[in-house]
Amino acid sequence: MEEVDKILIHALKQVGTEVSEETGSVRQFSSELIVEAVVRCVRVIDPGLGGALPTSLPPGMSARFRVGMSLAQACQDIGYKGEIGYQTFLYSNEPEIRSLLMFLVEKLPRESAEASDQPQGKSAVLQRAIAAAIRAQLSVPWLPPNCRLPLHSQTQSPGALHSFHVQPLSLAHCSPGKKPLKEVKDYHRDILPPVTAQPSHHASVVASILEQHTAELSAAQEWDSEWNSQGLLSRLKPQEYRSRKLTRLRKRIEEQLRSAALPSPESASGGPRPTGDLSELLQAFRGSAPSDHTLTKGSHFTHTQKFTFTKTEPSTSIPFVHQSDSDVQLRQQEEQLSLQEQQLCSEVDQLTADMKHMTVTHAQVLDELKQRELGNSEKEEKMQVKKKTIDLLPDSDDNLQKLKALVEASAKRVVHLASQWEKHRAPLIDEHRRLKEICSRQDLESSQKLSEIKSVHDKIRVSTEEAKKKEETYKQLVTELENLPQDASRSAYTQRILEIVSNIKKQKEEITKILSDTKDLQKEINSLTGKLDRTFAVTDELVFKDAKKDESVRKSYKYLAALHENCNQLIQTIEYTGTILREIRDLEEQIETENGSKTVANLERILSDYKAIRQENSALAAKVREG
Amino acid sequence: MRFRFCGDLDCPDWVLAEISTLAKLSSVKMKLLCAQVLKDLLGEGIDYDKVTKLTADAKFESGDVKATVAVLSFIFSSAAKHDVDSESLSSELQQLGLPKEHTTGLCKSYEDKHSALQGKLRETSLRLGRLESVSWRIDYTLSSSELREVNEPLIQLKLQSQGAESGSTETTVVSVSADKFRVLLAELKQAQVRMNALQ
Amino acid sequence: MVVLLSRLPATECIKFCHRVVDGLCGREPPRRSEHSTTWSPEEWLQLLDSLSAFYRRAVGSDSSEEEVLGGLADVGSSHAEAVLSVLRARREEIHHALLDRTNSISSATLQDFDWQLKLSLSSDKISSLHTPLLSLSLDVREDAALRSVTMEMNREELNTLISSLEAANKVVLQLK
Repeated sequence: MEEVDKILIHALKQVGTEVSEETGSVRQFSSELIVEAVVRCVRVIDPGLGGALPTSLPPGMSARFRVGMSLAQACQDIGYKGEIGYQTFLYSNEPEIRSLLMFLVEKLPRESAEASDQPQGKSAVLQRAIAAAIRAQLSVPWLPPNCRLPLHSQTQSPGALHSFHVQPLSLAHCSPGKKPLKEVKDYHRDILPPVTAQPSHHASVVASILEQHTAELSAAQEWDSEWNSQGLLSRLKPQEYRSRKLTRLRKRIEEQLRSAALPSPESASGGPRPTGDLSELLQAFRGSAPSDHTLTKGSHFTHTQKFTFTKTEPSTSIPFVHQSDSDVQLRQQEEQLSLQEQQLCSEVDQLTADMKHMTVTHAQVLDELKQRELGNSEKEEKMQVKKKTIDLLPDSDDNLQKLKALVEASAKRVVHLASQWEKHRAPLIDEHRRLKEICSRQDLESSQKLSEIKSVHDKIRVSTEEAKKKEETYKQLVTELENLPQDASRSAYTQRILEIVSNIKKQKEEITKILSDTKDLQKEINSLTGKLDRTFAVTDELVFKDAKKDESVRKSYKYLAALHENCNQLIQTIEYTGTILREIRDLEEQIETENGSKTVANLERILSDYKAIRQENSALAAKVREG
Repeated sequence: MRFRFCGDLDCPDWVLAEISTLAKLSSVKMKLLCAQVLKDLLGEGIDYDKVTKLTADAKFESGDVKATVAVLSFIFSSAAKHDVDSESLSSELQQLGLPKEHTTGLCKSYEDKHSALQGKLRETSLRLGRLESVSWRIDYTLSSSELREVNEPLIQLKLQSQGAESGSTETTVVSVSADKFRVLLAELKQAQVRMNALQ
Repeated sequence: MVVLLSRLPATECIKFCHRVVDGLCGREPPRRSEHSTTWSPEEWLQLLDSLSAFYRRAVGSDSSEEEVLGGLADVGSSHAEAVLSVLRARREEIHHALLDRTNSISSATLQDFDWQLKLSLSSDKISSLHTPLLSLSLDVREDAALRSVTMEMNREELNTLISSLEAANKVVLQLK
């Protein structure tokens, strides 16, 4: 019974009944506790039904009686079949209460328990958390601002809100491989303020650090992924890879710029000069584009020159204008002057354009000149060869001989050289082949290693992802575990259940043993009675036969019949005694249960309660009379 | 009485009054009317000529026509809002006094359009600005007055978003430095991961 | 006008120059109140302007140290050395600041951004909405004035934004 009571008390606690730690069994339940437990259960099972019931017993006796009645009614409504009335609650007896509580606990809805056992994924957990947070916030009463504790400031006062504002920070980095300059070190050591003192607002410290960190992290990640996908394949060192990419990019931009500049050579950019590289091209832009800084400076200069030049004229003519004293003339003159100025400006523009054009043509001419010079030198060489042949012409035969000899000698030398070359060549070729083989082998090896590296990278990525996932599930499981009810561990329950089951098994075995014993006994009895009957019948027949002849035998026959009858009576009496004994035992049990239900005490309580009711009634009657 | 389709509140009086008006229609006509009202709620527009034709039999005045349309829209939108299944809706409407045939017709059309209706309601819920389109361009800065050699990309972003007031489209053109852009993208990806973790 | 620097002792000079560079890099510039006895207001302004212009020019045109020293011919050698050492120490930072200045030549630049992920639970239209929304706010600097642009995105809109930004990022990666 103790196990059952523990489970019952645990379930009741879950429903919200305040059962103290000391109460370990249903026997110790007071009427108040019983009423509370039953009402809470009823409320959970059927909120509509239980809503009207109070959780505690009222002080007045008649009110208690009424509560008991309504509770009993509610229990019957739910479907309790057993005997129940107000006395069940007010004058409790242990087995009745136990059976009632067991019924109620079984009726408790399972869903809530199951839901808390296995939350459906993350979103359910989140939603529950949101609901809990909102409930908590709603339960906190509103307070005027100056009464707020730190607890309320989270939810009720808007707090100090700062927008996310970033300021550049200066951080001492230790980039690997590159030794920082001495000045940089000195700066970092002596002058650089700590990072918290760098931004002008304290609020943007965190923002700045966060952003800087993210920027560097994402840059590192991007570089990593790029390096793994492309950089590794190029078989270069990171720096080389970077510089090569940069040069390639520059080349591309240069080409595009050139192709964009070519179709309009007369437009402001004097681009199509054969410049060496991008920076030169840029320089060209800088030097010639009208929008450029230096050129605007130049034009400013020319403008001012013009201004100073033109200004002299009005200053000399001013007295003259004063003398004539006619505004019109002055204006005309001004207009004339401005016209002149415009003209001059346009002239200047044209001149600059001309100049540009000239520089272009100049470059072209220079090119042409170079080409011509090249042609010239070629022609000069040809001429020299021809000159030599002409010199050799007069003494032709002799010279021919000489030449032939020379040719032969050189042919011989060529053959000789060729044989020598062959001698040298063979080992060289072998060497070359060998090296080539080594090279290809190394190539193969390196590509193998590359693929290995790649696979390792992939593995790393996959395993990090897995680790992350597992960590997340771990976290979720931990939170779920925390949310689970902490008391009454599962294993204890199962152990108890197993124990109970084994106990029941043992009992069952005993029962079957006893049953078989009884059966055996019954069989024996049956066989014995059968034997007796048969013996009696035979004896009866034998004696009856003889009885007809002999008087004494007849007497003995009578005795036999009497004996048989008496024995039968005896047996009956024994059986009768057995049933009576059984009845006695039953009755004793009943008495025990009756004793267990505290009848006397309950009766006394009923009496006192009855007195209380009478007192209440008389008091009420007195009140009525007074009223 | 509390009704689930009214959000566990009492049914408004005008709805109660107009339900008796609905009962005057034949159940077939009412089902057709329901289809029209659902079309209206789903933003496909309502054909008032058809509505008047449907209600002509019952000799409805124009006020009654308006009332029936209004009450049907209320029932549908409110039931969809509180995610009431058609069975509960049917029993609750019958409690309010709508005849059984009418109720089954109404609930049948409601059941068919239930998810579409909820989708529409979800779509039209209050939103502060929606992103309509994104366009970008990447410039490569070669040189500037500040720095002779820059050689840095600069991203121009154009974001078209619908303002809080519907209909007004706001266009934001902004240039983002490469570093900032990278951070923005990384942060947005993080946000996306968080968002996906929510469901 | 860098000559005015010679009124400070050389050790002070280094600190002062660092403060000037701080101002150039978007942090707090030196305060006049700390040096009010050394320079008059006009001199102060001139000195600040010319010093920061000097640093900008030196880094911007990538001048060699000889050229820089040439520009400092009229300052005492110890002071010139101080100015130069500050330049050496802060070259990268100044370069970075100049990059920022270059980028902010555009009419509207992104200054800051912030995001917030919300789960909207319910609305007047539907009782259980359960839609995650991301509100992104961009602080756009337009002609020295900050303008805040805020938008709310649902999952699909965020996906389109991210995918188009990804495409842009691929191009950016090629340019780096």
